[in-house]
Amino acid sequence: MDLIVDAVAEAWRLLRTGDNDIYGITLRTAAITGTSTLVALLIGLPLGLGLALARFPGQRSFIALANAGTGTPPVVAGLLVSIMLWRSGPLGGLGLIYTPAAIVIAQALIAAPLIVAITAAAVMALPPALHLQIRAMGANQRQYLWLIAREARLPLLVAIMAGFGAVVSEVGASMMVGGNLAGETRVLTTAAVLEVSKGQFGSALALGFILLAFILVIAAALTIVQQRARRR
Amino acid sequence: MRGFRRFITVPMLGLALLVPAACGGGGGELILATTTSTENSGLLDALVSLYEEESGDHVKIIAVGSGAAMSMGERGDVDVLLVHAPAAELAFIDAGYGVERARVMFNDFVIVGPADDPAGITGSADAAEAIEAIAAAGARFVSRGDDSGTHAKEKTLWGAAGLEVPSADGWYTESGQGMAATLTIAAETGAYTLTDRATWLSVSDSARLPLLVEGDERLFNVYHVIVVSSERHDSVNTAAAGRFRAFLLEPTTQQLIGEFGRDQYGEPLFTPYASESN
Amino acid sequence: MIALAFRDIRVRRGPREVLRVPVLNVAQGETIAVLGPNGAGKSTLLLAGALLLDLAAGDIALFGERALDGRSRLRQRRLTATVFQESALLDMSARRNIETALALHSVPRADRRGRADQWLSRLGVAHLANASPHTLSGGEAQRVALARAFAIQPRLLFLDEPFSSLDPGTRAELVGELRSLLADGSTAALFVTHDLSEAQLLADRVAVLLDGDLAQHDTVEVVWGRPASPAVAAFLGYALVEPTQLPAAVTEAASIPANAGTVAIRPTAVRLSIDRTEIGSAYRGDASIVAVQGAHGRGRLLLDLGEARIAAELPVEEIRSFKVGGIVKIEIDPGGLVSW
Repeated sequence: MDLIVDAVAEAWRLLRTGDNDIYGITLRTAAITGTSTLVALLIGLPLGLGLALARFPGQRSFIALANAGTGTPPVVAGLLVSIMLWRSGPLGGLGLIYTPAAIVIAQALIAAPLIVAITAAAVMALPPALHLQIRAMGANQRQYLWLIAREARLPLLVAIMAGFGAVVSEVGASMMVGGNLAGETRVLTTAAVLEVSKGQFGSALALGFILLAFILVIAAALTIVQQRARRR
Repeated sequence: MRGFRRFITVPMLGLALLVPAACGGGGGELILATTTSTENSGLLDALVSLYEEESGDHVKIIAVGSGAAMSMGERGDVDVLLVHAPAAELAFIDAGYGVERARVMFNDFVIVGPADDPAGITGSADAAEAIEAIAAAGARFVSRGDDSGTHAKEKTLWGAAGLEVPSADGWYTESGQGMAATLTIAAETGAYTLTDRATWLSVSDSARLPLLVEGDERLFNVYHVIVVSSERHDSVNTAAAGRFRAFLLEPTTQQLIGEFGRDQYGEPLFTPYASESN
Repeated sequence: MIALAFRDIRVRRGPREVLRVPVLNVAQGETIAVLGPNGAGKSTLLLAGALLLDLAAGDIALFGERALDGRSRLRQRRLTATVFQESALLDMSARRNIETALALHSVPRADRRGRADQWLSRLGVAHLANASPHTLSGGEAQRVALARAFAIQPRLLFLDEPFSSLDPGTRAELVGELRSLLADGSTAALFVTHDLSEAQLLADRVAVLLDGDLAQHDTVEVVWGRPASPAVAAFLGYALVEPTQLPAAVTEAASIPANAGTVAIRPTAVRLSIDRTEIGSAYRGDASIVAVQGAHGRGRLLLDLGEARIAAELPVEEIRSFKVGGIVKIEIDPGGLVSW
């Protein structure tokens, strides 16, 4: 119990003094997770829409694949990306290993299947007459996609939340591909793990509290957007 | 597949966004693989920031076990190693993966355990006997079990005691984690474990089991720096690796090593032990 | 000018051919009702005409222009509007639904709100302009759907059983609404329905689809009075009998030819004989009641006349007291018999 009290005190101290690069780490966490979520969205939303709307052989298998992808252990994703990005790997020449970009890649790959699966499910749940009606209203392909996505906007917001949740709490892949380098690729989760491995539980918890606070703020913001979208 | 092509272009765009950050790669970048115990002690952070100032190189410290560090060296994914597993290191050099091995510093391992000491090893100066006593008493023992330098040392002790490494059921368990995590497990379960002195000193009180056995020269823990050979992989940055190695062996650096930790723990964590030829 | 022309069209669903129509035209300003039992291909015909599905063979032309693939299709589609059975309103306010449709038809932004409000008023739902579709009743939602369809001033309107899921009172109201909207003849309409009275009220001509085939296509009076085949007659509710099953007096009065194979009797041609006043050459006789039925406010008596089983459609009040097995005096208007 005193460990938790210590942790709260330590968290407050870290925030007050800016020690251990806490602000740097937090900003970096925000930047990296924000970028990963955005990239996962850019990849996942169109793929999810396509999966739900287009007709092609093997469609069901792809959907099963997306659903399976939501359960990918992050450490497996991290290992695969590492193997790609290590100097000894096929993409080694890009020099991306142990950089924030590598973390973005790994995290985006972890979050993308989630977004694909939720988007596809959301669009497939729309009433069939809706698709005909939108086309009948004279929408071209682009307008049709926009209106369909708009109709499914509430579940799509859930997809965004789920994707963000997946990347912000992730530590295994971030550690492997990022290397937890101080000042470069150290984020709240990997920093916390480092403190644990050093036996410094107080500061580990402190970092955990700060991470939770960060998640809370983002979740609250997304929920407000979602509730507004309900009324529009 | 009529509309499907449309759905590919945006994802491709998304993936393309990931590539630009490639600017960080290439010259002046040194990847150093070292052990978790060295990194956790904080010594490496101090040394590396000094080195970066002096040399202008940008160092990335990757802390994994000695075993993992050497396998990364075999693939040319790192430039220089700072490890403490002598037997494995020699094999590494012999196989041609590493060149220019040099001694840097040493400290020692100690055996720690529960205060009530069921195996009765307190004060012993014979590590092999002590570990035999633990096995005989069936007292709980936590091993690193992760191919690290500490794990390698532990295995030599079992050999010295004339015993096979115990199987991991019952009193002998493997944590598969770093030293501080292993110490925590040992503290929580009232078990013995082998640890380097530096990590033992640096963990918080809750994981600080009493020191029971020290001083045996078999507990000697020496660290070497090895430059990874560029013969097999020309992506290795041998120039910077050589600079770093030289830096570690410099008298001023050695002095820094000798003082490190005194303020915080009352005693230095490492002893300088540089030697060119090894 | 023909608003919509079907030529030799065939539509397949999987391996099955579900629709084949050699010729069907909708003239400008004309309203055509497409009737038929479930699965006859009515909605398929509508979707084909609205350029919303692909043909296996044949041609469709809108206002003289053949519908081809791609961009021209889109342009042609914009001359039309469609209303479905379950009002497919978008998840936004009623007004914004209409504004979106107007936007898709390139109506300038400044004009959209005014037009939307104007049409919401016209359909009597101005007070629901800001309402979300979830809060609307079935009737209200269909009014918004109609407003949305008419707001773009379509030259051709498609309606797929738009009132089927509404209660009878609302349904009757909306049929009236649609009738007055189509009255000025500026919009041609193709609407699919099950309901014969809707067809009779709204349509200039009727197309009867049976099992994917166009069984009859003519004015309401002709289809009603002279169904083209026993199958059409059966669909319209006629009773089918063999000429020999009827009392000779009936077939004589109606001048049924000797070689006729089937005779159909229009249910409204069978009436209860109240008094003995002569009315034309109506046949009069006794029939025994087999069943007393009713639905949708209308009553039906199943009667045995001679060896024939026929049906009489009557107001429910008139047949309420009848019992199975009773004998009633009926009159048959011979004009209500058709034979093949």
